[in-house]
Amino acid sequence: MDNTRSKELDLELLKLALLAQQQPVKTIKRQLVLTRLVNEIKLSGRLCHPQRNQFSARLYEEIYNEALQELWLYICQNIHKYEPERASVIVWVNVLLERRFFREAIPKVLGKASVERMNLSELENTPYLEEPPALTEVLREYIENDPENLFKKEHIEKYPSATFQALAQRRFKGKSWKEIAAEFEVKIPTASSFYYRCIDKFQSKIREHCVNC
Amino acid sequence: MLTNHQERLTFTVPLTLENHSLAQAFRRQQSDSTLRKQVYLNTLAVCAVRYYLCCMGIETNCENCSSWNSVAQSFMDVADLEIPQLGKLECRPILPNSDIVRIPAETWYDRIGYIGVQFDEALREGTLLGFVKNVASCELPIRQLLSLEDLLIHLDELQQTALSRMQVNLSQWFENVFAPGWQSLEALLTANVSQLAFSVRNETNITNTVRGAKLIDLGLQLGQISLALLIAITQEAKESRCITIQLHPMTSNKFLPNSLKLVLMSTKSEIIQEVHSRSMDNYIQLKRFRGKPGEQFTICITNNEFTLTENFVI
Repeated sequence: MDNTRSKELDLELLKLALLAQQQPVKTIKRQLVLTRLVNEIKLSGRLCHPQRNQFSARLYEEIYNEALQELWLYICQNIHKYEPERASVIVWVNVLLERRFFREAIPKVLGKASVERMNLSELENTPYLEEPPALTEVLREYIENDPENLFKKEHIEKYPSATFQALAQRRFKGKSWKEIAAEFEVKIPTASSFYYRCIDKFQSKIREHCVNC
Repeated sequence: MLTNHQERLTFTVPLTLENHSLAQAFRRQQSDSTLRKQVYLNTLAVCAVRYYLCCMGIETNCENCSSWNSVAQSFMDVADLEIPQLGKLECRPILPNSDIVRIPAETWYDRIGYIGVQFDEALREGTLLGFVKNVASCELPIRQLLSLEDLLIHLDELQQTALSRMQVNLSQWFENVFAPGWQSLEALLTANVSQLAFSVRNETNITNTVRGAKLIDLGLQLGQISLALLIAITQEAKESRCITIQLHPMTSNKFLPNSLKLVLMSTKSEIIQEVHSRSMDNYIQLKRFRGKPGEQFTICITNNEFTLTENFVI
């Protein structure tokens, strides 16, 4: 980054930090300025990357992310601790990141080594392996069997075939609200609000069944 | 078409292992692959919004939400997050490079707004792109989202509405009617005669003036310190009231804590005037101001860690 742009950025961040300090906690102006401030710091490309060569790339990203979450929260909650006469905003932030939050994040991340973080393609392609019957099955079976005749009795007013059971089964199959509404010749909000109310009504009953299973 | 993220106000949340671990726990409850992915992403979206609101000092609660409940997740594509007293926000996940937000019809009810959270391929970050108050279709182009600024304004308005239900009516004081927590200064003086660190000047001609007080206990926040907020309202003419506001220390504290601020704000949260306590201040006082019956204002007592707000109508 050339010198002029860097100076402009310092000035902009200073302006935002001072503005945030002037507004009382939890007021909308302070929230707005803090959102901008965090955004600008992130986009500045001037955040440091401490201890970069000491961890594998995957582990490093994990630690860095953990540290960043703590860092942004700290800045938002403690902007009053920034002293403009001592350092520029970016220096203050980088000192916090390097000396405090990155260090604190290391043991936290190492302690959670067993957590399996998925990315989008893993989410799409991971086959289903777990053995015990998942909630999904228990629940779908319960709606299907309907031992107490609850779910096939409850229907949209004047549409006896549009029962909660029928709607739930179609949602389970991944049918869209548009398709479901067309099938039963009702409007989308009619179907979805009925469904929403039914789940509210039956939820404790269903949960009870799942726990006892 | 991709929106230009640089131009609108967004907020990018780093997603930690803890967030992923929660998403994984909810995902494992389901066996349908579409559902598993949906639950995972919905959980991350809620985590991202919850984190942002926490940064903004806005309290949230997941306990009563469908998004935190595997049974509800099996039936509905939901990612709701409750803001106590205000209502539920729906946090909709957006895939990378997608230019639409999907808003399933089962989330069209009981919501105070919808926030779009866009992920990267690695699911390391969730960016809050913007929000809408109401929806009427299952899909919304990202470019139609309002900015985060509008979200904050919307939440603030809801908060103001919630607070206005708890507004202190000053004109009622003339009929000796005080809102809960408030009492006449005379009653306060009688009840706390030994504890009061301040005295009140005996002014003449006070028949058209009424004074009320509220005790504020900042036990945990300020190391066991109690304060008294005093307000005097004087009827000058039919349509004009003069108001004096003071903040005093209570009990054995002779002085106010350092760097306490007493702020007068409009209902739009604009600061009208403020006064800071310095060391050895017995009390602080806002400049006297005038208003008409029906006019509203807000008083904030704040230091860097907390803000206490009281809303008034003259």
